[in-house]
Formats: sequence, C-alpha cells, structure tokens
Amino acid sequence: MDYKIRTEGQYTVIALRGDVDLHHSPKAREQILKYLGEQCHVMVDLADVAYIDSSGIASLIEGFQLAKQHKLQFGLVGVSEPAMQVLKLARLDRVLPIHQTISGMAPVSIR
Amino acid sequence: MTTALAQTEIRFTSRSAQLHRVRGEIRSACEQYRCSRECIDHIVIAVNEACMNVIEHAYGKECDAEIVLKIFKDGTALVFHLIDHARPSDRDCLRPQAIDLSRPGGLGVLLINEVMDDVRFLACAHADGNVLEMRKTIE
Repeated sequence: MDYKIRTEGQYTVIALRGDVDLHHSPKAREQILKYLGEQCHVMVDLADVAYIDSSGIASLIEGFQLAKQHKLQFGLVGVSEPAMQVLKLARLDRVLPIHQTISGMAPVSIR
Repeated sequence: MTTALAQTEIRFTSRSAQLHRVRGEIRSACEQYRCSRECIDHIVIAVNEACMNVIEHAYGKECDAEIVLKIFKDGTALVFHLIDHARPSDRDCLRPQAIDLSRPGGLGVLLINEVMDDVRFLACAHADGNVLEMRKTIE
C-alpha cells in the first residue's frame, strides 16, 4: 500500500492505493489520525484500493469517530468495488459518509 | 467425464506480510470450483479475516509459527480448514456481535459469519492447536 496527500477545497484528501490489510493498515491509520490531529477536514480516497480488511476498516471507523469528537468532516470518496464489498458486508456503507466526488459536496461551514 | 479436484493446501507463517500471497492462493483454489466472482471475493474476505485472527490473536507476537489452510469440496459446500498450533482459542470468539462504532473489534468475526454458512472449531488431534472449519455452499 502507498498513499498520497492532496488538498481539495477545504479537505485534506488521503488517497490510499493497493492493499489496506493487516500488514499495511497501520500506515493508513497513522495518516488519518495525523491530519485529524491537525484539525483538518479529511476525505479518504479509496478509488485505488485493491483490497481492504477489517483492520483497514477499523482505521476508517476510528477516523470517523475522532472527526465527530473534534467536529471535523470525515468521509470516504471514490470507493473502489473491492472496498465497497467489505463495507456492504459489514453494513458500514450506511454508516460511514461516502461520496462519489469531493467537488459535488456541500462546503464545510466555518465554525 | 468429471475430474476430481484435489484438496488445496496452503502453508504460511504467522506474518501479516504473508497474507497477500495467501489471498491469491485462496482465489486460485476457488476458481477451480467455478464459483461466481462475487462468491470468490466474499470467500477471500472471510478466510483472510480468519487467517488474520490466527496471526493477531492465536499466535500473538510469535512470527514464524506455522499455519495451514486446507480447501476442499464436500458435496455442494466448499470447506476451509484453518489449522494452527497455538493455545486453544476461546470457542465463544466466533459469536458475531453487532458493530459498535466506539469499539470496532469483532468486525472480522462478523465478516466471516456474513459470508460463511457454517463456522466452528473442530476437535484438534494435538494438545495445542485449533482447527477452524468454515463451510460455504456454492452455486
């Protein structure tokens, strides 16, 4: 797995690529928590994720929970088919905020 | 004429870096049985989670302990036996629990139970060790 960071509007986008599995998910978790810790609104781009397991999903849930605590925006964007399969099996596709693109999202209100 | 399909045996050590290869071998084995792509995807997800549980919880930090995965057909079911030599696992750990977002542990067990038709520990021939059986009826 590797990742790239970009800024789109008010969001820090963490684009993950490859397998987000037990071996690699600590790296994804570290980036998610780092940017939320810096009070950034975070979108995790899963378009190029070939595989994600429960450890990767747990990192996303942790980010979602932390963002809620800090009143930050957190969501998933461009979810690949393999990642969506896991989210659906866990019924988390109805829990985690999922967006097709960032450009179509409502702007973040300034607190 | 029908050709009997051999049992597949995948051996690996309790390192997370091995999981990528193991997933590929599970996929290849399932393709022999003409499962649908979605069915194979789901099986790979579930069996990977079971392998993760052995690496993370059964063996803990022990890195080079052996794990064996046997895959074979039994009637209309595809059967997976995941064998380790760790301390006997808590049999209750297979019980799926509702997802609690404040404590996302247990997600792996939920995924296994969502995909498989039957999941149970079999009696183990050794003093130490576990044999987890997962069965999936295939079309």
